[in-house]
Amino acid sequence: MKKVLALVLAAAMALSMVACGGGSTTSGSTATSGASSAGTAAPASDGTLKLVLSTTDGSSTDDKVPTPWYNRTLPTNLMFRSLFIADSTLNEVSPDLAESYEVSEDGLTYTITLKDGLKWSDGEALTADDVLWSIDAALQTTQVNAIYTSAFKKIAEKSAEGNVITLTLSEPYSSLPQILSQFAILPKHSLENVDVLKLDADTTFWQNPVTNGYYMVGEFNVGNYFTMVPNPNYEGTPAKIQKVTVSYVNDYLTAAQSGNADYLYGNATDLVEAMEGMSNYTSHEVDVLFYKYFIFNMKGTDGTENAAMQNVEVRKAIMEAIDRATLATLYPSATVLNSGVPDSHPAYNGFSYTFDAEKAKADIAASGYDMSRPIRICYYNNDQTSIDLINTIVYYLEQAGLTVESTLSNDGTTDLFTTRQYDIGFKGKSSFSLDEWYSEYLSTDALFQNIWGGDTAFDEAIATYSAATTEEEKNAALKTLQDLEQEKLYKVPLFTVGNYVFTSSNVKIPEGVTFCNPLYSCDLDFANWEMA
Amino acid sequence: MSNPNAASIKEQNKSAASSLLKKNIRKFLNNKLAVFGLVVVVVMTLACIIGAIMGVDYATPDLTNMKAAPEAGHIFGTDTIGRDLLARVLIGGCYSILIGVFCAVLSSVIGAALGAIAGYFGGWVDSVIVRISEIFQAFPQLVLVMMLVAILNQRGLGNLLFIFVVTGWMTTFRMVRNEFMSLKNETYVKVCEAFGMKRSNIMFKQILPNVMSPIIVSTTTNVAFFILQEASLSFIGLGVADSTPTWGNILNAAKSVSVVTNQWWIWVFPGLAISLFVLAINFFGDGLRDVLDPKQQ
Amino acid sequence: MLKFILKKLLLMIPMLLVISLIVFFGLQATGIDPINFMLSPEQLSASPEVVEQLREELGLNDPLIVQYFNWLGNMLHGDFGYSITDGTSIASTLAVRMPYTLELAGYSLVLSAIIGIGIGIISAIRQNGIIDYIGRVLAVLGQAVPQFLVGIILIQIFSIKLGIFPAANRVSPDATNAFVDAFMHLFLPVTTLTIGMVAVLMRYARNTMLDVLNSDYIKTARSKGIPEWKVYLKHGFRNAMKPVLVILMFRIPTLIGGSVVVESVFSYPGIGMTMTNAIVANDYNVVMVTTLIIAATMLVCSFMVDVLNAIMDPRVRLGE
Repeated sequence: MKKVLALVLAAAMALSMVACGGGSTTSGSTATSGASSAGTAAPASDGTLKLVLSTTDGSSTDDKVPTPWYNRTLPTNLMFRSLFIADSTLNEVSPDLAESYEVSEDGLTYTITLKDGLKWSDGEALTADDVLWSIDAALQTTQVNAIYTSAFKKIAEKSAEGNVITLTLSEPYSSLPQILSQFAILPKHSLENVDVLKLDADTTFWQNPVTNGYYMVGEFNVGNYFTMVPNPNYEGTPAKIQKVTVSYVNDYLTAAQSGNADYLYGNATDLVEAMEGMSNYTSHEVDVLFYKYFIFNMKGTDGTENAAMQNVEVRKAIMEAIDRATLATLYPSATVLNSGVPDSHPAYNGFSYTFDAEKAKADIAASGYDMSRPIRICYYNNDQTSIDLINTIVYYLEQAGLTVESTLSNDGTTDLFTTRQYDIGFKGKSSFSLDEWYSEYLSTDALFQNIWGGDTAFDEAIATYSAATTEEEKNAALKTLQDLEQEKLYKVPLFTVGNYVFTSSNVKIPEGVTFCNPLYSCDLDFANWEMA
Repeated sequence: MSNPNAASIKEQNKSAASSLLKKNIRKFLNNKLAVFGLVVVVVMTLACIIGAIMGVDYATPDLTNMKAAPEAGHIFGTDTIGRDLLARVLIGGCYSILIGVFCAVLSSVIGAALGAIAGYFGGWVDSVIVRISEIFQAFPQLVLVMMLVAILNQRGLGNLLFIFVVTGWMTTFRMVRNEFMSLKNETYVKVCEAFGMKRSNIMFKQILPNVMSPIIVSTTTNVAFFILQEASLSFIGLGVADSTPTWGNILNAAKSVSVVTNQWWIWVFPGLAISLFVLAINFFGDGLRDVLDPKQQ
Repeated sequence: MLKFILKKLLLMIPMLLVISLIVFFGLQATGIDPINFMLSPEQLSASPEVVEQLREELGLNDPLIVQYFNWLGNMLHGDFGYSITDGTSIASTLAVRMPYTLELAGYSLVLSAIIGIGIGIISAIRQNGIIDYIGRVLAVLGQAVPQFLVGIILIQIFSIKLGIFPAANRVSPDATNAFVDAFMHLFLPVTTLTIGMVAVLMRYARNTMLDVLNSDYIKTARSKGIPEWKVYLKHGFRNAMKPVLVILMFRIPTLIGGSVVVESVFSYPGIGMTMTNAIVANDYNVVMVTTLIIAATMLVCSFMVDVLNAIMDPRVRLGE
């Protein structure tokens, strides 16, 4: 019997020693842990670029190519192009499918000329009709990024004559070219008979989409991967890389460590720290407005209120109770924010929420909030850093005398108004521009009108902002928006977090390439990427 | 006529029983693994309870000291937001052991009661209960948990306890039912029936004590099973809310690959706590079986 | 015998009906409105008429009981419906994922049966020998370490440190030999599932074999001078196997529960992952179908246990 006991203990020790063998020697310094795994983890490439898509963030499922109309990811960027292509700031655009464009004096009419002889991967001609159809379809379908719909709603008239597309806006909107540089054009001839609501769900199309970029799908293996092969009808310089594989995985880091991802991105601390420790990966910090913020669940358009959150003093006290500067240390690089405008931006209005636990406690008590009623927070990011963040916030609020329930939900926005069970939604948003952050306040915003009861307070200021053309006008409009934002406290940013792109040493990236927000599309000079 | 021997027979029975008990205890004590199991279970449970009574601070995050390796101030180190892991493992133990013990005991009680009824009465009562048990056996636990979470809109401890009990009574039920089916034809049961003893009395006072041994044994091993089950459910994201530090929730940090490779203490200590406790309970259960139920080995 | 099997089979129908009722009405009680997933919030707020029309078309305005029978009718016609979150046909999803899970669970079942019973019997024959000790240690450890932790540790060692086996998926894009590829991808998840299963089977097989070996007829057989191996094989093994087979069948639900966890650890595209994802996403069309399928599988298993029992022990048949 003693023998059994001894063996059990020995085996248990062995198991735990093996399991953390690499880790225990390198705990504390991540750099060496990377080096130790580098030797075995990344087998030499065979000329194939290995990409991964995550199935756990809810934006894609493993039975189809994700729609480029929601998030733009590298695999879809390599298959679908837009009229324009943006630089790494996403601000400067140059022609892509379009040859040129002109804007009228009043900023209301855009005339866009398409390149000649464009073809889809199936040999059909890519025409102005495809562009118009795509714009219409984006306005009707379900799975689409709000930056497109809110921009396209301003298009009053559109027409096409031969290669020339004319878009007439109902109000000036200077960001249209930037939006169009993200908007992937899809083939009308393959999709016009598909239910437009469920455009992204048509697996017959999305397992072998007709494309207009470098590649098209070679083989699709449901649940596992798809491969991309050069699109024979691509009219530009073809990519040097002849084959790309895209695997569906649960965890980017495991994929990278087992040598299956040549490109990945993220902002969670555990991922970034571990990736930076791997010597065979290069890290590129990217310039992104990635907000982490709270939304307070106020009321629906039908007037049903969430009584607990109506008192603005309660919302203010909640902000006072949270030490955002300390919370920011949970992320590899996070910058505390006091409005949608970063503190470093010239338009920042100077106001800041200060952390004061004692005052928060007193203020909550003074606001008349029923302390026995728990505050309900829902969040939807399931990574360790987000869970840590929520747990810390819960702690802060409990210190202020509140009881708090935090719940992991599927979707941090729609859950707020479909069930109206939560007081606060915790969200992350990779924002395309300041515009996108503030346009959520529009009384007509599809999602948020259901959360803030279609309050019209912001409408005018937003209109002024999007019509503004000079820097000065824009900054002035932004100041008004910030004041309003801090008065209303419907959504409060905690901080922006730094985002990183990682590329493995298997892939040689040409000089001068700057990575952009990984959920959008920009010019990465991909044609000149090579496998080492 | 008085019977002077009656008292002494009772006495003899008593002393026989106590010597049987003594024998059993001696037998148990001879089983080193079982004793080891018992000691570990008792020590760990006591440590957790003492920790809870002392009010160790398991909840205060310290972001200036996150992921600290074990050191003097934090013997087990700190977790991803700087909470003391020793305190968390202790408090987590209270929750996990509570889940294990509560669910095991309650599901055994339900299983035994239903098993007794089904086995004793037989006929349609039996077939109805057996069908019900088969339905519960066939039902994926995950879906039940999910439905409850969605209906009640919270991931509380209560949900989990309820689900575990509801889906956990079938093994005990089958065992007790089978025992009852064979025992009800024994002579002593027939005699009791002939004396007109109440059925509930026969079932629970006469037959049930004969089935107690396997029930006790299976209850102990079920404690381990439920503790592991809680850890699995937390892993899939359907366990108790994160703010409750069960062992499963603490171990959840092992989801992060970087924690697994770089901060071993964050997952090794809760992992060891679960494994050690489960191991100990299983050893203890095996020892009990040897003593109480020799025919099952 | 035939009558017994027939009766058991017929009994499965009402049980499946009850399960489908529980799932259907349970999910209705959650108050999840599929319309919220089917239309963009834009359309939800902009055009209540469209919403109402869609509701009518989908039959969401019918009384619940009517909806239930419609759903059941469709299921019986083989129309499993569509996922509410992404609109894909559930039947086509299942067609891809079921085989993957069956593969995973099947191999684990066979492997754990061979290893578990094998070691169990050897331990019983050579009681207190080295195999007995190692076997018992493994059994105890296999039961004590949470399955997902075993999986994570295996990935760390074999995929990341040693780089032998892939850490995710079921098929590699660059596979040259389908068989080798399948082996590589299945090895770690099957091992993880098997470790847990082996533990139970081994203990059980050892105990029953010991019981049998200590029984009178084995002693008689020995005393007759029958060679030792023949005693083990012909008398010991055959008699010990009956209860072990029953236990094996009983472990299938655990296996399915385990594959839910293991699939999520190994990004393995089986039905367990489909169900977990659907649960998290509130996709109750998929949850209903996967639940029913798993329940049906479980019922079939318990049916097989009953039949096996009946074949081995005629008293069971008479008792029913």
